[in-house]
Amino acid sequence: MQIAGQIIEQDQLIADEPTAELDSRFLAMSRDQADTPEPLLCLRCRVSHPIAEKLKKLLHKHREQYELDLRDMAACVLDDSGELFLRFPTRHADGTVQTLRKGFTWRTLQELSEQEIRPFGAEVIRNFDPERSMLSTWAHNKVQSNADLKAYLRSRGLLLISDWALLADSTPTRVRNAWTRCGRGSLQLEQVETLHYSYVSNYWPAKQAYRSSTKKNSGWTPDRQFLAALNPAQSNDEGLKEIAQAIRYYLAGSSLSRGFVAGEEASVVDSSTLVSNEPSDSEHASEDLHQLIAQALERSGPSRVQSAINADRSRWEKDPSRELAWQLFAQGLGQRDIAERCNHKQGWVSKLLKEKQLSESIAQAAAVELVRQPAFESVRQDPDGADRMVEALRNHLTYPEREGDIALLRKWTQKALKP
Amino acid sequence: MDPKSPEAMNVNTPQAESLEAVPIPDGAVLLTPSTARQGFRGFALAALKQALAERHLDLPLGPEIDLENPERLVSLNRFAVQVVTSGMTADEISIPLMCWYQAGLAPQLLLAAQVDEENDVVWFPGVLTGAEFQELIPNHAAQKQEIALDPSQFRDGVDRLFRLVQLLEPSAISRAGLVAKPALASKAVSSVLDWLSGQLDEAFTSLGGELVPATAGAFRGVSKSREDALAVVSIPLGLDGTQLCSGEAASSCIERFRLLLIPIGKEKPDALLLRVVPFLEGDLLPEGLAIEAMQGELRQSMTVNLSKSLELSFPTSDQLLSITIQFPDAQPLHLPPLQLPS
Repeated sequence: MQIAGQIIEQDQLIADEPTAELDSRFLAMSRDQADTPEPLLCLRCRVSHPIAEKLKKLLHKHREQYELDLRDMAACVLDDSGELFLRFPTRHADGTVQTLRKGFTWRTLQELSEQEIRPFGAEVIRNFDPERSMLSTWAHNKVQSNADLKAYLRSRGLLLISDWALLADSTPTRVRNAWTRCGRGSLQLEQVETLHYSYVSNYWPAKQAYRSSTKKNSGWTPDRQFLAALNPAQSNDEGLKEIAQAIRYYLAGSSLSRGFVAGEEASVVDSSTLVSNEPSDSEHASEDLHQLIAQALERSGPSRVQSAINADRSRWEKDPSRELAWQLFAQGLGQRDIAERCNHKQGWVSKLLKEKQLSESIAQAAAVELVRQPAFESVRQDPDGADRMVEALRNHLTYPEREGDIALLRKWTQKALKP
Repeated sequence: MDPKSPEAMNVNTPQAESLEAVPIPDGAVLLTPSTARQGFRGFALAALKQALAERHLDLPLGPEIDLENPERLVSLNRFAVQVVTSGMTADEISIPLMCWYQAGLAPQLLLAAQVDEENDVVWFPGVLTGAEFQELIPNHAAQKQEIALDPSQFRDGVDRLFRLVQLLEPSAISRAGLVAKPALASKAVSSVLDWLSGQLDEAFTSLGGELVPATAGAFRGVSKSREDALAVVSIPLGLDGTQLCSGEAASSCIERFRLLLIPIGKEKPDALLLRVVPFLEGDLLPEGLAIEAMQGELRQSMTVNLSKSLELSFPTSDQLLSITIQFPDAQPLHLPPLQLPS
């Protein structure tokens, strides 16, 4: 950092805000002094700012609901410690490993293969094409498509969707609405519509060709040839980025951004409808049916709950909060309260308990058994009836019949947790 | 694109929020990254298999061959399912309608899948039954090639699919389709291997074909021992005057007979037996009725001459097997091409 600071002062490259011109000067310096690490170091410092900015934005937006750790995110894309040398371990024929040291220069960077480029900032710089966008935008795009960060966020329940996929997924109606309400920039609505139409027509063949040549499903970005083939031809991707940004603003308040719905908040179907719909209204027949239902649930439920708990048990030693979450669930606490007591987010609880999936699986197994009984056989010809039956059984599992009672699913959890 | 003057610029005030990352929907399937998967359908089918496995559901899923072909319907526990796909953030899912115009071959269920190829994640917004789908699309008789629906119009995720195919009889959901047109001759290849897992291709069911227990097939005079018959597909046929009929239409014919297709072998088929037998055991078959079949260069045929049955046998092969039933002056009946892989 100090070295970079000295160069910036020495070459009078000081400015309040980053500009395209300044970026170009840093880039030119790095290229011109291809065997000197210092100019490239300045560029590496410069690129770390938009990367950090992007991470902070992600964190700020999602930390309330998702368990994100800035250090973990930074480990994926902000891994440049400012070294002036790169080290390459080389294994010799006799098995010994020797570490080669090379100056972290523009020339070295050009000699590296795609797989060898580390830190991430160096990858951003190596592929940077000033004709196509500004360095900040370029860095943002690269972060958005970074495989390590994507994998990290996926493990936390979030998907990083590239602008290119977002544009391809969007209908003309969405693009029109997005641009009218949130678009910013030089493009007129008609131009936006034409450009987007042309983008979508060209995207799928280009993606297919990319997949054939790289054997990868991710990582496609528009190259100059692609941009030139658009209508109207584009010299850079700024126009497309502006449209994508408008879509992102437009969708920020939509259901797409709201995220998970906890299983326990599912709509309530009265479990008594299972029985009251039957033709016989005698109390005796109704009791028999209740018994059939209870037996079917008893046969399908406890074993499935036990399996779910057993599958998680191996992780309790490392993370005792998982066991606590199951215990609190068994006691009747809601997901929000469990999350608070376990010092986790609600999404973590939902992912751990999978209450909706578990109750659905038990209800389906019980329903399969019940529809073989004459009393329920009409369900076999009635799609709505099949839906109602499973919903009612699920409801019976997840809600207590009387106030103060505990739901069946939680009772079985209590039983399964007993040593 | 030429920049416009500042007056002409779109100057919406920036929103406070922008969609930086998309929350993974509850119940989405997270796949292990693989370069082998291709296209939205490839991802959707991989996710469907994973969802079945996660729920420990052992339901037959086919067809055995050509499953990746987007024009083919998927058969899940004897239900014909159309899998329709889009990108994860799409606001519409396009539904090809070709199969909906084939009366008797139309899908019974529509499964929507939204795919994020970059993150290997698939989300199933839900399912529509044939009847629900038809209610949603106005002017469906307009012979459109495809129609688009909002993903939110599909109901209850992939679990609804598993509910319906486990709880309902296949006959509970009609395959009538959008327009009552005669069934089109299917050019899709059917695999004999599907029969072994209890699945019969829609092209055969539209001919009235059904899988009967192998032991029952053996009882009706299959020349090999009953242990060798791995499955038996029985197609009802008949003569209405001089016209060959199949399925429901055959039941009202005076001259009735059956075509039995019987893969034989110990654990996997090593041959396919084609057998034409009268509806009532001991009857004679109609004079002049013939069966002809070709498998690459191998061609076999037999014609009824005071016969009580006709029988051909074909070995396993990479070549497709085409079977035709003929009767003098009648339109020949071509069966869908069959694959009996070695």
